[in-house]
Amino acid sequence: MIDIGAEMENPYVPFKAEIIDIRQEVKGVRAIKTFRMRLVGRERFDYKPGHGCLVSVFGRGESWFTIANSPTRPDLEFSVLKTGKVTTKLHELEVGDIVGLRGPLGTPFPVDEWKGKNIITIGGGIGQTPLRSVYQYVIDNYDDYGELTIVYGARTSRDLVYKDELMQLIDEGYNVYLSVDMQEEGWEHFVGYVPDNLRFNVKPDPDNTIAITCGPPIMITLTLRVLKELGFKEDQVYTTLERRMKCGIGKCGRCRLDGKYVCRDGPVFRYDRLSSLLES
Amino acid sequence: MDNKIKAMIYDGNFLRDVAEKLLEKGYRVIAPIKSGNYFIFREIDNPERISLNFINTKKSAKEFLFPQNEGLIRYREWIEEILLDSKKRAIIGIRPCDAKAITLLDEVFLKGFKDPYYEARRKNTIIIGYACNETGDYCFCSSLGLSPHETEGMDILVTNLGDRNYLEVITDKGDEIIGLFDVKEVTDEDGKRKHELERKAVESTTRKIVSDMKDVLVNNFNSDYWRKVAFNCIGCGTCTFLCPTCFCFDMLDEGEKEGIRYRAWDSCQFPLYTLESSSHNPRREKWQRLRNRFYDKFLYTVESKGKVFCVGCGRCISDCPAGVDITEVMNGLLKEVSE
Repeated sequence: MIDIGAEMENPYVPFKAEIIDIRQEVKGVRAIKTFRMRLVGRERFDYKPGHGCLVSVFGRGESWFTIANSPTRPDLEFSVLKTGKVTTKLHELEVGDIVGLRGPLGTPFPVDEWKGKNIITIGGGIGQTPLRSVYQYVIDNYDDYGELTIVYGARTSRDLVYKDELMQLIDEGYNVYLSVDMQEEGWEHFVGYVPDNLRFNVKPDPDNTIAITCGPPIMITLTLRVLKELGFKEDQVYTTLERRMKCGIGKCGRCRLDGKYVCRDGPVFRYDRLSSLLES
Repeated sequence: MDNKIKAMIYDGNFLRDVAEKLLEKGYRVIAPIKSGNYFIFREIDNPERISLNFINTKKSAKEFLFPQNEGLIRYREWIEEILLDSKKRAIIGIRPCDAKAITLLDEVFLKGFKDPYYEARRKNTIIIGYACNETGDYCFCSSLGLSPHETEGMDILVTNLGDRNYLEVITDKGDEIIGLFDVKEVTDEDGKRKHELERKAVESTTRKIVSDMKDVLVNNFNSDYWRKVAFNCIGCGTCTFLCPTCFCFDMLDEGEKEGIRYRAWDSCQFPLYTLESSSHNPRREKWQRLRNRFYDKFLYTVESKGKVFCVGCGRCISDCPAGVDITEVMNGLLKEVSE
């Protein structure tokens, strides 16, 4: 168990981090960049897949991102969709620039509890970010887990993040099921929505399997329906939620869902613990 | 806890005299003063400014522990200064409901992650309360299990017996201060008078709220009742602004190249509060936001902290421009479901 933010003396004061690499994942109006960051003057903090950080650009503010890489890999990666005040500024930054990081925050995926089980990740769009940390972790601890299946889709092939990494996993023989919403020239994978890919193509066996899903709200809703049809119980399904956040430490109030703070009690929720909440 | 409370008598106006003493000792003294038609808490430098002839102050003293705007970090290219405020303060003349509210803020800011900014202020603040011998039209503390003579959250509580003050010393901090004064033992008659004043104050509180409604709230989350009661609401946020227990805040950076990261009171009654950058808003409608205020105070905080986040001060009733009344809404819900 990692005590969240244990290494932060004042939980509002970020660690200093340097951007050491920037990868343009998606271009255009919904541009996505993955930033690789390294803490300045100290070791990286311990974390688990699903933990988040508030990335801070002084003068603009802070935004929450789930850490996109597994703790088994070096540095800290964040995939950022250019959409608001902070993310627009982040997209203007260059390698060598300094940002602030507050973390690790939140309650992560219980990856240790999942040992010995099959893992299926079901992601859509930028929602693949927390799932990437999970599948990297499972790949790097291969002997501890059963079969790994990655299901991922986006509107078009140009909107897929981590495309090269996924293609390489396919080459290495991993079970990767990709999809795009509409037919494109040269697309060799499934055409249609992620839940349909899951229902008609992947058809995962619920026996001894944990399903983790993250993506747009409608995709999550339909995915949960398909998983239920396939025989998954609510306690076999995990998801991560998004809410507007500020403090990141369960104080400021805005990410609350009933009495739970998404920033502190989430963003990872087991589905049965979510479905009982009034506001979910 | 009650056994630990020590009672004594002070001949004179204790709140005035303690203000003088604490000012001499270099404390910042925050006390009620008269301002126009209202009474408000202000930092004073002269104890003569204190005015005690009030039912309650316009705003609670919340802002002296959790300011409406509070600098957290001063930055240039990187952090220049962390703006903790550890000055010694005394809040004197605070009413029991507002002192109780501070214990609820403690639940938020001192449990789990300690909020260093709140903690720095709280640790260095002495709280000297002022018991209510008279209650107002909007008061309803007694139906929340509190008393107009409640001592929770205070270091010392002062009850005005007319010609003298009855002091209840609750904490070691309070003890230290009492050591600076000449006090007398409480006589039986003083005890009786104090008791009588409390009884009268409780009896004069005619407004009531039914707050213990966990199951009713759980079962009526999707009731049309919430649309109905929100109809008049204009979403101004006055209720949350004046509420001594509301603690939500925003965090903002002021200054692009150099400036201050600060926090500012925010309100769940505003649509921007939950609006996400994707344009998705989990509480899009006014009635959802109004409902949230009630669920938060009477259900969510009960579930997560074991406490109702209302102290019955009545400010959200007296100052609502649209006549939304927290007691009517809660009592009306019970009526609605029983019909």
